[in-house]
Amino acid sequence: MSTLLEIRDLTVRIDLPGGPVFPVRDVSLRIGPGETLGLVGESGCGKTLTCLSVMGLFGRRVSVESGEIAFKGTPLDPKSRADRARRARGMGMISQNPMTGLNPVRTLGWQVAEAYRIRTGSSRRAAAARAVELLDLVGIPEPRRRSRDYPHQISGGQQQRAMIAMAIAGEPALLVADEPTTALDVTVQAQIVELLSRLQRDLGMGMLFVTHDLGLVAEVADRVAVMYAGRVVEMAPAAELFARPRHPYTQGLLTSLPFLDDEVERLSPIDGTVPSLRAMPRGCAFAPRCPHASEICRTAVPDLSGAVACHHPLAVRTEAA
Amino acid sequence: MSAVLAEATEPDEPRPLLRVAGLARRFSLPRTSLFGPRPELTAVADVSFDLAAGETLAVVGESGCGKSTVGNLVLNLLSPSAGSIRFDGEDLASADDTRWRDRRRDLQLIFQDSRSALDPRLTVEAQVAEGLEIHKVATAADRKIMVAAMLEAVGLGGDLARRYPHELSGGQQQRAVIARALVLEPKLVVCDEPVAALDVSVQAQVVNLLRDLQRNLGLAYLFISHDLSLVRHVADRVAVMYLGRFVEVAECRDLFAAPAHPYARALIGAVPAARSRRGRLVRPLRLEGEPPSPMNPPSGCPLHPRCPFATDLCRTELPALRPRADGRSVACHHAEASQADGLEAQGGSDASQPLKVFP
Repeated sequence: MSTLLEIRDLTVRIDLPGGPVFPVRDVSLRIGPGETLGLVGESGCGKTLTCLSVMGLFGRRVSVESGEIAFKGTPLDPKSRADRARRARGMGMISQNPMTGLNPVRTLGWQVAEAYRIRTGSSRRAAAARAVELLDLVGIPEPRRRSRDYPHQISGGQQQRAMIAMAIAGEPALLVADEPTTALDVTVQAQIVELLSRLQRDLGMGMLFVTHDLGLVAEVADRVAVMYAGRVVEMAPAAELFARPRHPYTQGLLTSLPFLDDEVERLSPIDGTVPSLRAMPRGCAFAPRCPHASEICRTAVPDLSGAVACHHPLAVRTEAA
Repeated sequence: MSAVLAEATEPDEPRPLLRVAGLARRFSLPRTSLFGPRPELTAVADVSFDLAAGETLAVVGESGCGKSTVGNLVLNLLSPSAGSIRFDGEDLASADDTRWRDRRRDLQLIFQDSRSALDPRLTVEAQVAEGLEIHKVATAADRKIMVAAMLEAVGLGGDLARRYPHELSGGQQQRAVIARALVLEPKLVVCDEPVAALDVSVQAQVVNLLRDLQRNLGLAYLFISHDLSLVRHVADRVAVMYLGRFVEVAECRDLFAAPAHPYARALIGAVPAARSRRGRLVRPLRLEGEPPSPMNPPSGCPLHPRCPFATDLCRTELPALRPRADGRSVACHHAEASQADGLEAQGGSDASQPLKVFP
C-alpha cells in the first residue's frame, strides 16, 4: 500500500523556563490514502502535539527534536516555504474548538473561499461560488444566506461544520481531526461523525482522527494507535484492539469504561495517575501503574516492535472470554 | 401531580427523602430594546420527582437543558419561580436562614470543577474540617479523628492530607471535594458532572469511590451527567431532560433496554456501539438540527422540529409527562411508535459495522 503520511521516530521538544521537556517521543505512524488512523489517549499524552507536528503549526517554544514527517513519500522540512505551501495544499485540519479556527471578523463564505483559493489557486468569483457549495456539502442549511454570516451568529455545531468546510475545501489528501466532536452535544456529535465519514469516503481523504473517546474511535477508525505519556504503546486494527487489547494500559482503559449492557458492581480503574513530563520514569512510563510490571520495565523502555510496546504483553486470548 | 395524589391515597407509603413538585425556574434577561419587555428564559419547567434515601436518580441531557439548574434549585442555591421542594417532609423554599443552616448539613454538593471548588489557601485537611467546625459537630479532638477517617476513606490519607490543592492531581482534588461533602454525613448529595473533568483511567476510581460511600453511608445521589454509559452504571432511575422538561423518567435498566421517548432514544443511540458488549440494543434515531434556544422554545412538544415522529398534534399540544403501566413516565404523543421502531433492530445490529447504523 502506498503511504500518504509517514511519521518516523518523531520527538517534540518544548523549551520551558525550567528546561526542555519532551511531550512526544519516538512516535511513528503511517496513514494510507483513504485510511482513517485513530489516535487515542488521555489528556497530556501528546496527541494534539502530534497533530500540530503534522500540520507544522508550532509556537515559538516548540520544535521537532528528532525524527521526520513525510507527506506523499517526500519528507517535509519545517523551515522550508515550499514545504509549507505543500502542507497547506495537501492537508486540512479541524480542531476541538471551532472558534479558535474561525476568524471572528470575516464571514463564513469569505473564510471557506480563502481556504479554497489557497489550495486551488482559483479566482475569487469561482471560490465564492464553491464556498456556498461546500457549506451545503457539510449540511449547513440555506448556505447562500449563511455564507454571509459571521461565526458568532451560528451555533457550535454549525461552526464545526463551517470548520470542516474550510478543511475540505480544495479536497486535501489528508484531514487532521483533533477532537472534532468533544465540544459538541452527543446528538450533534453523531451528525458530525457521520458527516466526516461520508466526506472521507466521497473524497478519498486519509484521516488522522484524534480523540480521548475510545467508543468513538471504534466507530470511525480503521486502525488505532494508543498513546501514553508521549509514546505510542499499542497499534492495531480497531476491531482487534477492542476485542483483544495487548498493552496493559489499553486493557485498563477498556475496563475503566462502563458498558451500556453490562452490569458490573465495580469498575476496574487503573491505579495511580499519569506521570508528569518532568518526572518520567526511566523505563516504561506505565510501569508504576501496571500490575504486570517487573524489573526490566523499570529500567528499559519497551519498543513498539510489532504492535505493542510492552515487556509483558497480554496473551492473545482465545474466543472463550 | 400524580406523586402528590399518590401520597394522599396511600398514607402507608414511606415518605421520600426528597419530593419535588411542579418545579420551575425562569430567568429574566437584559432588555433588548429600551422600552421593550425583559425577555425571559425558562430553564426548568414543571419538573416533579421523588428521591428515596439510598437511591440514585440520574438527570441526563445535553448542555443547556437545565439539568444543573435542577441541582441548584434542590440545593436552594437558586430560588424556584414555581413549585415546591420538600426535603424530609419539610418545605425548604420557605425555611428561614437559621433553619437552612441546620439543614444544609444534610444536603451537599460535588461540582465538576474541583479546582475552583477548593480554597487554594487551605490544606486538604483544613478544608474537610471546615464544614464540621461551621456546624459545630463534636469536639475538636473528635473532629480530627472524623477528618482523618474520611480522608483515609477517599484515599487521601497520611502525607496527602497536609497538601494544598495545587499540589494534588485532578483526581485527588475531586477526592478532596468528595471528602469535604461527605464528612458531614449528608443524606442527599447533588453530584453535578462529578467526573467529567477527569481522565478515563481516573474516572473509574472516583466512580467506585462514590458507590462505596453510598453503600456505607446510605446516601441518596442526584447525579447530573451527560455521560450515558456512566449513568447506566451508577443510577437506579434516570430522568431524561430536554429544554427544561423531563421527557422520560424510568428505571435505569428499562430505559436503556427500550427508551420510549424519541429524545431518550436519540441520546442512547448516539453512544458509540463499542460501548455495548453485544452491539446496540436500540436502533439509533437521528435527530435533525440542534437543540433550540431555551429563550425561544418551539410551540407544542419542544422536540417536534427535530423529531421524525412529529405530527400536527405535536406542533400544537405540549405532551404531559404521563405515568404508564410499565412504571415509567413519558411525555410524548407517539411514544409507543417510537419505542417499537427502536426495538426493531434487536439482535440484528452488529458492532463491527457501526457506520451503517445511520442509513
